[in-house]
Amino acid sequence: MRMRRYHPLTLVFDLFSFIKNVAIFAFLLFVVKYQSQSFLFVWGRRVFAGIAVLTVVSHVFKWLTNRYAADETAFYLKSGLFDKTERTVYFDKVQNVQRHTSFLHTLFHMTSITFETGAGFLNSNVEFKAVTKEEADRLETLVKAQQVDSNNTEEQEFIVQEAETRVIHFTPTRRDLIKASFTSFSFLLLLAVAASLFSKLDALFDLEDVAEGWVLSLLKSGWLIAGTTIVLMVISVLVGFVWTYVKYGKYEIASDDKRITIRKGIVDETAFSILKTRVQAIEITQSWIKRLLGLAEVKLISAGGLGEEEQEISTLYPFLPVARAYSIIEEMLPGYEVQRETKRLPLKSLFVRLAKPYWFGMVSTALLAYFRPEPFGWHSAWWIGSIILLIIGIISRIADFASTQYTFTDGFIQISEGVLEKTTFLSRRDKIIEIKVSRTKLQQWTGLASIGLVNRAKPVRHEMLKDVSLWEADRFYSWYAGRVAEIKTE
Amino acid sequence: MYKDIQEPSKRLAKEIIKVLRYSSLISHTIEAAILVAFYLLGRHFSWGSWSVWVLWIGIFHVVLSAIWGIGLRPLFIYKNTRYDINEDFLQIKTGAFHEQHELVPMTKIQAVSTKQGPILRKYDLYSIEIQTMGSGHGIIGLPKSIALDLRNQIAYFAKIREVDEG
Repeated sequence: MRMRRYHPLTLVFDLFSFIKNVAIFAFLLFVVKYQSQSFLFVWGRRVFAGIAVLTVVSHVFKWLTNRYAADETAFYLKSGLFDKTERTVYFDKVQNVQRHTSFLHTLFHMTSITFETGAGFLNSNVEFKAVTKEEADRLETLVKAQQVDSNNTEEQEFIVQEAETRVIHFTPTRRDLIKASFTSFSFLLLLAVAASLFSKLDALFDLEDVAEGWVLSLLKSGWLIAGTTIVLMVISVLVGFVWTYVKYGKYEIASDDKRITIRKGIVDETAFSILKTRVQAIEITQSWIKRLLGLAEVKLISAGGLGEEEQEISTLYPFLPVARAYSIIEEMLPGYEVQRETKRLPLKSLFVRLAKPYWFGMVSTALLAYFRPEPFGWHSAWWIGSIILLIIGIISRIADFASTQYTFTDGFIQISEGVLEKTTFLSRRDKIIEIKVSRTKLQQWTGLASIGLVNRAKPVRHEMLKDVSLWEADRFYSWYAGRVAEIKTE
Repeated sequence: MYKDIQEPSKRLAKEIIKVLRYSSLISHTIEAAILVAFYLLGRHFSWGSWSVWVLWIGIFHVVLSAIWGIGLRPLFIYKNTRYDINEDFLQIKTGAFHEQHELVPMTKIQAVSTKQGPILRKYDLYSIEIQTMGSGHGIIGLPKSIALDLRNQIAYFAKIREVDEG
């Protein structure tokens, strides 16, 4: 088998990311403090130059020595100059595929592609930082073909048909985008950027005095104030909308028989694809503002990693209308069904929760009693404060109890929790890798139990539901034991 | 509708009580030795009244944890630990104050090993450690023949893989 070198532009991208990481540092050393003759900066510049040269050299050697190849079943990777490593990654271990095309990639007609495996240790994925689109397509097709093949040999013709059965489930309309831009508070973006810019410039040029004079002259005229406020608001809403558009504008959730594909981004394109059978669980989150607007964020949980924070894309569109979110899940993932009829915790679980000690309240009461703060000369502030804390504690426990819902039916479990931010967790019984039922002494006395389940993810995902009735916990235990009937073994 | 599953019933070897007592005794002896050293140093350098406080707190802690660790905990562990396996599941039940039932499918077990420290060796016992995709589980203190059998059995059952697992 012929081992190939990575595309030469990989070097350029490596260097670019190096420059991006150290740019601020370099700016400080060579521009801002260029005049400084202090020991720190003189040596700082020398060490920096040394590190830069070493990095460039090491990247060149890395490029010269690293090779890869792929056949019908696996990737073969070679690396190392003195300490040589050879790695074989079988396609059926690939959990999901991510493609990221940054602006720089677009300029060179390149893309980057990452095949994530479920292995627990670091660097277990196969990453191509810069490949031509054709090569990326070739590799992805190889992986797809093998995955379909290994799952069902009889269904090989599906590979050909895949393109035909593709369904696009969602692309945002302008209305969706407007809602999204408000929900994400992106209209505050301008303010935040302006504030941080101001504070940075201020440190350099003492802007505050200048600005103060300017602001004062503005304040003198009511019309000017109103005018500027309106203009600023319009600008910030527009900026927020553009930002949202760039980020979420070209979103597309699609699926075919075998896999789910999510694409997003206008300048920076990202694509994520996962086999339906490799979806370990689903998480639906709603912040309070999303609940007000009836929106939800749906996230697919994969056993492979999901890329770095900013490029993370296992999320179906983060601002889906709730009803649509539920129906998309049901359309895309057969076997999943968001249950509207869920169970609540037994009433005694509320009493148990209320009876537990209020540590926060107790500690703050002790502090209040000791320091006896008297805001505005108000003597009884400390005990009233303590009572308010207690009431808040009680209310939050009641709300917590009331917002907890769960259900488990044939092959499926659903748990919702959270007052302000509601999270609903859905998983299939065959995807849960272990469970536990635990009971503290208090729960033993009151006939309650906590149930816990573990799902594959990176890192491993633990879910816990506290204070269900003992009877339900027993049912949960035997429910999980019933998975034997539905799993297929090789 | 659901397949009923038996509660686990197999127990640890009775000698585990002694093993846990010995190991707890050793660690408490070390702690006590540190306290003695602290007392002697304090007296030699005349550290003053704060060191007396620290010493009393230390003694209090060591005595209480010794009563728990040497006296009670080994009994509780022996009395409350149960395990069992069948071809589909591993079950472990532990704890009296915080009772836990764990149910782990055989197909999700990735590694199983037996271990034996010096104290366990004295009683010819083995511990079993089980690694799953998500976490680790252990059964401490089984007689040699049972432990090795159990390990082999788990290894055999765990060899089967589920479709779609990767």
